[in-house]
Amino acid sequence: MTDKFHSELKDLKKGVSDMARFALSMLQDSQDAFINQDDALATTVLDRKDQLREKTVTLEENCYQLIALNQPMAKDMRTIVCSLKVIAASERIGRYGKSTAKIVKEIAGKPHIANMMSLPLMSEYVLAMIDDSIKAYETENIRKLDGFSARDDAIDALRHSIFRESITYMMENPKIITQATYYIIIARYLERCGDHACKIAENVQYMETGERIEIK
Amino acid sequence: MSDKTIISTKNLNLWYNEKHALQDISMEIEKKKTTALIGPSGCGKSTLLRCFNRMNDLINQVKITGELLLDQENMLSCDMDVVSLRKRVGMVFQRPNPFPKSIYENVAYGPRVHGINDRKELDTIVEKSLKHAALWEEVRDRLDESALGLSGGQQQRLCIARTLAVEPEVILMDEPCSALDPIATAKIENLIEMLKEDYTVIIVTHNMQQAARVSDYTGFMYLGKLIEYDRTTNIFEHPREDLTENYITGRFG
Amino acid sequence: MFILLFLLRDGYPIFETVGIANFLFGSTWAPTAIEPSYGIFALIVGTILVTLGAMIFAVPLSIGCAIYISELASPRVKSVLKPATELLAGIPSVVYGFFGLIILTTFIRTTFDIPTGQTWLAGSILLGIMALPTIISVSEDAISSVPREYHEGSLATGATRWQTISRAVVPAALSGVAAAIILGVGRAIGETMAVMMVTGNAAIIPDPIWNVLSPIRTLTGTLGIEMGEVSIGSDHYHALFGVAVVLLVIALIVNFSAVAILSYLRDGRTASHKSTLRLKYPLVTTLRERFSQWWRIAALALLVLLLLITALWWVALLVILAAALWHYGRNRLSRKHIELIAFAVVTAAALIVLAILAIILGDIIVNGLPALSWDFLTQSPTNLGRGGGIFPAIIGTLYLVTGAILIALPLGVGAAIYLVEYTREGRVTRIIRTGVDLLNGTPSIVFGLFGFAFIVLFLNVGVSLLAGMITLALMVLPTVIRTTEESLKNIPQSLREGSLALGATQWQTIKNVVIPPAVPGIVTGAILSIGRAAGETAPIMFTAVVFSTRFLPNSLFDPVMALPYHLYILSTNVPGASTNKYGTALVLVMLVVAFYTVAILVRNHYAKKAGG
Repeated sequence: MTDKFHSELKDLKKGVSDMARFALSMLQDSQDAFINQDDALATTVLDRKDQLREKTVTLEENCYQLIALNQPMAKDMRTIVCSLKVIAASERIGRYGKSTAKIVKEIAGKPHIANMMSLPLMSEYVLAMIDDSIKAYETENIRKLDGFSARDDAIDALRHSIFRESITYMMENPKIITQATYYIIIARYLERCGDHACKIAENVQYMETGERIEIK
Repeated sequence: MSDKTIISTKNLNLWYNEKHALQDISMEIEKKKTTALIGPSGCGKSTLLRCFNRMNDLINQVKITGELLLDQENMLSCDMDVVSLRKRVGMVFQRPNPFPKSIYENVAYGPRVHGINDRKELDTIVEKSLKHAALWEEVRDRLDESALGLSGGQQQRLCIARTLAVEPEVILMDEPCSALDPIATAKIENLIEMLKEDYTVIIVTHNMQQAARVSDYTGFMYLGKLIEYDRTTNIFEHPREDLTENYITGRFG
Repeated sequence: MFILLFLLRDGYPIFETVGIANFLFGSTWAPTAIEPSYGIFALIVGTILVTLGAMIFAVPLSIGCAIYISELASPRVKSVLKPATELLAGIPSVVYGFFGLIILTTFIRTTFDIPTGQTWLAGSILLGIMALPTIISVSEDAISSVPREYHEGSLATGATRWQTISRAVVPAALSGVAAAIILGVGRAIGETMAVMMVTGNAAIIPDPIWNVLSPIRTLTGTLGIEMGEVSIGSDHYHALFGVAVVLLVIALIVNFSAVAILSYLRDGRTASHKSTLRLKYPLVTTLRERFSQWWRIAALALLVLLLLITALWWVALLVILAAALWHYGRNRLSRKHIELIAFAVVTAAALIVLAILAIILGDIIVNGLPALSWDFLTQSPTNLGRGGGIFPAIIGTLYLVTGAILIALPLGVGAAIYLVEYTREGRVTRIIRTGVDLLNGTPSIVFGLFGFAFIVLFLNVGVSLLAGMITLALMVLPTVIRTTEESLKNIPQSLREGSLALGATQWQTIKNVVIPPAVPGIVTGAILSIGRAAGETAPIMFTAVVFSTRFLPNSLFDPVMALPYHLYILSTNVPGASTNKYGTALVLVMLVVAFYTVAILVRNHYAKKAGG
């Protein structure tokens, strides 16, 4: 393979990890906006939606080009395939960030219920998982992926607890039903993002070793 | 013809005896860009390439009509000095053809033939050309050994160095990698990337991926006609002609 | 370069004769009789008979040897045999004649109990030996060029190696072998010195016609013997030139057909003709198959008849026995056994050829060695050559050869370069090339005559070193052109293209890229030519030499002594002086062998370099 191909491959990985961090930052900011009820921050997240789309399209095109022109083999092929999946997952994560920001704008001004239940904790876990999976992609080090299964279980447990808590609060106080429902929705979003992080992790494992695993 | 163009043809026709090998070829090659010619076997791409440095003169029974300009000068006129034309337009062939001389003498052949005999000057030219051809590091200690002892890929780079030694403006490459293994091919492609900055490169190739990788412009030829000539990205992503699309997707040829 | 054409055109008018129609068919040749008659029929018959005999002797032997070399010999044996055959080709004809005179004729005389051994038989055997190397090398070339696919295809059907060789390979190489035989015939027809020395030179038709023990004379012998004694301008003189014309025409026809077949063969190897050639091969084999049965029986019967009549009845018996054995045994003996027998026969052929070479060389070396001494090499001859040394002859030969090569090399290389590089294949080149080939096939005596008539007389240069040099140069010119052409053609076209693409002119390309790798081939050709020129007698016989001069030539216009001529005169006209004869022969052979060895070494050295 020519030098050009290898340098383009490196650039691709850099671009993909940049995009993943961009999406992560969208999710992060949306969470901060939620916690601090920061309407302006939520708006910036919404504004980044187009940029995210652009990055997705460009990076995907790059991947297709590399495959069409160079017929990559082995690790190179797995890298490109993994990158495509990371791009897809990152886009979803970013969009969840955007959706969360939209919710923030909806409930802005309204005070929090029950100290937001365990949402901040859950978001902390999820953000950390996504960050670790991106790091694993960047450094091609799969040690970071140990324990993902346990962490995913923890996140699922938190979602269940938020769900039950919200239902309880809704039964007690019908006036906060809308807000509590939104809490459930945000928890749902966070759980999905956690799943995407697991997907990224599985693909990084494939990229590294060719092995297919499933993180439950 | 804009001043970005270095070679242009208009209604170029070529006959081998009765065979009408090139039909009404009109194209403009842009300076310091890489242009690829693709097409199935026998479509005339090598013939067209050989027109650009009048190598077809070596074959009997060849008749050429039409316009063929190098930097505004008519290449086909009798006044055109073929010898100096070939200094400005160099050629690398499909099978490496180093002379049975030493590596040094191979590269120095061109300058010598054009009158440079000063040893110091030749030393400089040889080193520069070998460096440009990405061969210097591998042969710097054995310049006096026979060129025939090099591997295929090295020999081809030597031929490129030999061409560079006469400081051409245009480099014609006739399927330069088809006789080489994949590693050597990759090295040549790296080389073409580097040469792009200083030379105009016209490359004939069977390998479509290669054409798409290295060239800025691509011309698709079929049965002696130039079917489509456009930026490479356009040709390979959304060609205008059905014929082009069929060829690129491998439906024929 | 157009000297070739000039030569041809010029040769003919010179040979203006008192051309009479019955010249060809008059049966008596007695120019010195009171009423001279110039019928050369007897001479033509003589040439034909001697050649025929030579072929009967040479063809089976050389084909067997060729088969052995190309198919059976291990590489080590091959590397001995091939140079050996080339060496055989290099021995000068006068040395053969010498050997024939001394050994062969004595042998025949004692075996058959006749007054003199100088007979048709001697001439045929000698000519056969001389034709061997030509036939062997061309046949061997043809056989080894048969594509491997034929071998493999045949073996894959379960045929034994011998069956493969006899049924598939040799028939495929048939045209090449035929060309080889024709070339051998050409060589035999044109041979002068050897026949002059051993055939007895009686211009009669043997009676009965198959009497191999009768003396006989050939066209070439006539020229050689009588040219020296004739008066210039007389009828006799013109008649001799007429003989030369006839000889030339015959030789040209023979050589032309050989060349035509060879070039057909060579062209047939290129891809475009392969299909047509393959079509021809089945034709040959089917014909052969169909007639083989009858052929064999008929040929056998003829042979037996012939042998019976010539009273060699014991040989006839042997042949009948062999035929019977073969016919009955054929279905009994396994193929393996047939193969063994056949291989044995073929190996025997090769061994016989080697033996011949050994005998000739051995005889000369053994008897000549005692004659060699420093004095011998550095003194002038005394007592009509019976004593003293051969120094002037050695010097003379060296002068002649140097001069010849100095003339021939530039001319020949130039002509070859012109033919290969500057012209396109067309009528002109083909005419020139035909001219060169024909020149190649011209008998050496004709060169001598031409040299005499044109250079010595017409240009009034006189019998001199210069005349000899020019004649020799003309003789080796075609060889030089041929070998140079071959070497140049071997340079791949891609090198020329590479050079031209860099902006070199055609001359620069030729000078720097084409010629240097071709030099070994050119040098080899030049050295071979020198070797040939050194050994030739006929061309210099009338143009340059005298038998003995005490002093070395002072200028180009003096006549000179030369080794081959010295040997000739010593052996035929000077009785006694046996040691000196052998010594001369040995020196000559050593000189020629040295040249040939150097040429072969050069060629091998560069072949190895190119291969590695």
